[in-house]
Amino acid sequence: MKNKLFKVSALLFLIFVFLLSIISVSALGVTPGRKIIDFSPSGQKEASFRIINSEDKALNVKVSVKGDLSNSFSINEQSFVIQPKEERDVSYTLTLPYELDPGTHMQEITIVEVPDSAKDGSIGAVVGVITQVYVRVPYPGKYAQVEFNIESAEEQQEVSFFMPITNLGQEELTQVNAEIEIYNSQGDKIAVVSTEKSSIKIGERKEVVGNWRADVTPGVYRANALINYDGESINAEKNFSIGNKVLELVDVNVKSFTLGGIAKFEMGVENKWGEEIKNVYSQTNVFDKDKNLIADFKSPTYDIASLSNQTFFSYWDTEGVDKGTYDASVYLRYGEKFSKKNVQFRVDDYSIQAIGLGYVIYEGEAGGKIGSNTKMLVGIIIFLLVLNLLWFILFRKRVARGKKENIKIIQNNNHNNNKKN
Amino acid sequence: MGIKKNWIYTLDFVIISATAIALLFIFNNINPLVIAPFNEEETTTSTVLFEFKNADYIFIDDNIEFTSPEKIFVEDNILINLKPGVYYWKLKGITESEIRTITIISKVDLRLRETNKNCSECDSSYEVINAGNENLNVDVYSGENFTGNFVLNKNENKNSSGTKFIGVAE
Repeated sequence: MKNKLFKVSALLFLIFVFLLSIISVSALGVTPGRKIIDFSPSGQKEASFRIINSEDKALNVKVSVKGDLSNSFSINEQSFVIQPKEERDVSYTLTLPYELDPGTHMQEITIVEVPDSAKDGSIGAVVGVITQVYVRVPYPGKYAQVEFNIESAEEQQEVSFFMPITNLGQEELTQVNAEIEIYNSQGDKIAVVSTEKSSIKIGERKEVVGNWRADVTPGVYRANALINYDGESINAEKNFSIGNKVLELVDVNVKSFTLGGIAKFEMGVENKWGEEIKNVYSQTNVFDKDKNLIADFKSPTYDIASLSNQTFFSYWDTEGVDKGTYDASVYLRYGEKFSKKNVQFRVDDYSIQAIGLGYVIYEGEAGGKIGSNTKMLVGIIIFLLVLNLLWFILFRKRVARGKKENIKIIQNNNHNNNKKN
Repeated sequence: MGIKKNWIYTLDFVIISATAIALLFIFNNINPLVIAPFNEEETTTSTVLFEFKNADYIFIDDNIEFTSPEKIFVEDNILINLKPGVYYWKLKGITESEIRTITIISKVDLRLRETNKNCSECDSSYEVINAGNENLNVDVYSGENFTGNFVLNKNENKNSSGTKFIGVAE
């Protein structure tokens, strides 16, 4: 009987091990994902990358290079076993030719898991990652690579035009500037913005910036930038919007929750504006029945593309929180503005449900805050200054003068007394 | 004059002490206190915790001149998502803090999880997860044959069939 039980247990154990091997995960990482190397004739460049095995099993890996310079790579390890949770640095030398066509030559170093022949058929798929090596060869003479970015604004605010310029030529760019023409939807030119002149060294990246105050009605506008560098020019064009940035909290979900644990909030936020809104984060304040703040948690920042939704993640530690319905305010903060949505959280043993209420947009909070702090400190400084001046210059002097007069009176009295005697 | 000497000295002491305490308070509250991240920190984590005191804004830019900074209004510590790259950052309250740098090193990290493990007659299907900090192009192979590719954004996962999945930064 005992023997039979042992056999059954052994069989169950083997099945368990087999199942574990089937559901096992493959994972491979590499850092950096990309490296840029500047070309130098017949130069030797040494660099390295790190391979990361974040799983609990050893992996056989193979390293190979693809690209027009693949034969110029010398990698110190091309095939090895990477242990569980191991991070291994692999170095390589790139011997560059004397001449190479101008531009960017992309090479790919592939690190791929080699299937274990003993386990073939059970796992089936392997994973691989690529670290890219860009060899940048300068163009003859003067050559600039230009991007054109616009940070849209609301009415009466400043629109910023950014032109990051990279000098990819063999000569320094000594006179770089831009002229930006702004057109309305009817095609009429309504403004011209000029930037300051600057110089850009070989291989350097610099930004040319122009600002324009949007004293116009909301709508879509077009910017046409002419970037000049030492007699050459590049044209770039882009549309931008003037209007109100509107973000809306669409929904709030909490999955796999147990009261007393950490609740993971997934908040759907919609950007209703025609432009991307950057660095938005949520802040949630939860209040008890007496309106006391019992929790304040924030999400990281997110960039939300125009007219699209983004899920914000934030976490609430519910240790010590009782079942019940709690008032909460969810703030979506962006720039100096925030929108606020009042909700209620119904907290149960295994769920948190959001019940929506009102929705308000606020602005100008930051300015007020800084103003009050500054005012307070300036007030303290002025008060101290006046107090010290009054005391040490006026009052103290008067006291000292009073003292001198007292001494004179005493001296006179003494003198008179002496005379009488 | 009826003011006693001791009384004057007491007033002197009170005024000097109060001034010293007030100046200490001003000094402590006027300058932003930068706690984290450390200067010249390098990390592969793209969500960075900025810890500080006495500041209202964080300015982050890819150049030290701060020509096109991201200006983030903050009340206290904040997590900021940054793409791989080198960033310069400073705090601004009543005064400005020192300028620090942080480097987010790009990381390509691809993970596979078998999804139809209980179906012996089905084709092998996998959940492909992007656990790195870059959006990825994932090439799919069946044996040595390339069968297609798809884009996998940061923290995204997709189901796919194949025998080899190779990820590269977009």
